Amino acid sequence: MKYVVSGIRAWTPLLVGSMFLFVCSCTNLSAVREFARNSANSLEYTRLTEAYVQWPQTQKRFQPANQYAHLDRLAGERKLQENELLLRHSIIQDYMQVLGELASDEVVTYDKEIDSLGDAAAAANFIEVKDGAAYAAIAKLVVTATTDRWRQAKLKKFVTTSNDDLQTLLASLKEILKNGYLGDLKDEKVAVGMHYGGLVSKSKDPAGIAALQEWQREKEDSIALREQAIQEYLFILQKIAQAHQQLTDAISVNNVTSNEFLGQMSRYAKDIRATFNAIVSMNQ
Amino acid sequence: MKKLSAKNAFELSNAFGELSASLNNYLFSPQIKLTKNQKADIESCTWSLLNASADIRTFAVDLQLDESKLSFEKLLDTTAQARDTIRQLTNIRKVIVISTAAVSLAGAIISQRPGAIIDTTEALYKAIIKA
Repeated sequence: MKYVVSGIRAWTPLLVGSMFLFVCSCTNLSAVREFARNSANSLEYTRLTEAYVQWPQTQKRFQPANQYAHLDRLAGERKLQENELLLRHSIIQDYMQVLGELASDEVVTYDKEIDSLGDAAAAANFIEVKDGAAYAAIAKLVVTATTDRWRQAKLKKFVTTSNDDLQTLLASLKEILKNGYLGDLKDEKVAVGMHYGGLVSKSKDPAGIAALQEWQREKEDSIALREQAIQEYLFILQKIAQAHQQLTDAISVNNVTSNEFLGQMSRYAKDIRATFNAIVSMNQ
Repeated sequence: MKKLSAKNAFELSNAFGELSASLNNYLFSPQIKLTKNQKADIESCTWSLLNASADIRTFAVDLQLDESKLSFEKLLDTTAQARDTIRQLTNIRKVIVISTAAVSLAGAIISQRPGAIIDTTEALYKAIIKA
């Protein structure tokens, strides 16, 4: 038994050195984490989808009463789509959260348990009490390095397996925003023109006409602001798609540790956060 | 007949929307003189076209959701699997707890302390049960 213990002691400096190199070779994926976190936060924003669902009802203020039944039916159809649209947001958000967790350095720490293991080994006379702390330190390095390697392998598989589906979903969401949500606003502009144009053409009072034209401008400004929010959100989805593609490409050529790649991921993360903040401040 | 794609449906919706915008411009053009009835007819057509545009757009969103349904389901599955991976990392903690109990038991056996063997066997049993 003593032979084994003294053998462990003799190998300790070498083991610590090897483990140090092993741990140092693990990747710092904080830029990937930041990208995943900012993307998940952006996907939480569902106000544009809510506006799309409520849009038919909001059009009643511009359209004649004989169109209300049509708008009610349309509102019912969009209500049926709401859950599916929100699920698209939430699956991409979930995906990004998991990506962030897998890219984390501290998914789970085992320090407390390993300290207990060191104490138990010392108490069982496998090692001397004074070596207990060194033993626990080595064990922490081994476990962390092994689980990090394993986790990063899982991360790589997760990203490369999911990329095509994620790109399809992001492209699909972009189409819905570009043609669906922006299409609504394009039609709303026509409706506002019809509504106020009709009122102005019937009015003989110059002050009344001026007031109507002012209201029309206000409505058009509100449409322009909502259009801008959609364009900004499209920009976010575009950046998420590009960054994820870049992550996939970097993984396939084993380049995730390069400063150039991590710098690009960090820039994507910052762009996403800045654009998202701009959308939020537009709504305040 | 070839099935309508989401892209085609969005294009159709856009075409109807543009048509209603053109009618709206025509209706309020200062150069065009229309009778009251003609104005009413064009106005009615414009609203109908505008709402047809919204109808087709809503249908196009349905098609777009359908076209990406498979990717949605696959991503749902992959994400659930990755969550299991993170749970496995948590399980490692349990393995270490069991190993600690086993080390204590081994120490007790080597030192041939019957009381300690009983205690550490019980501790190992509890660690396994709790894991």
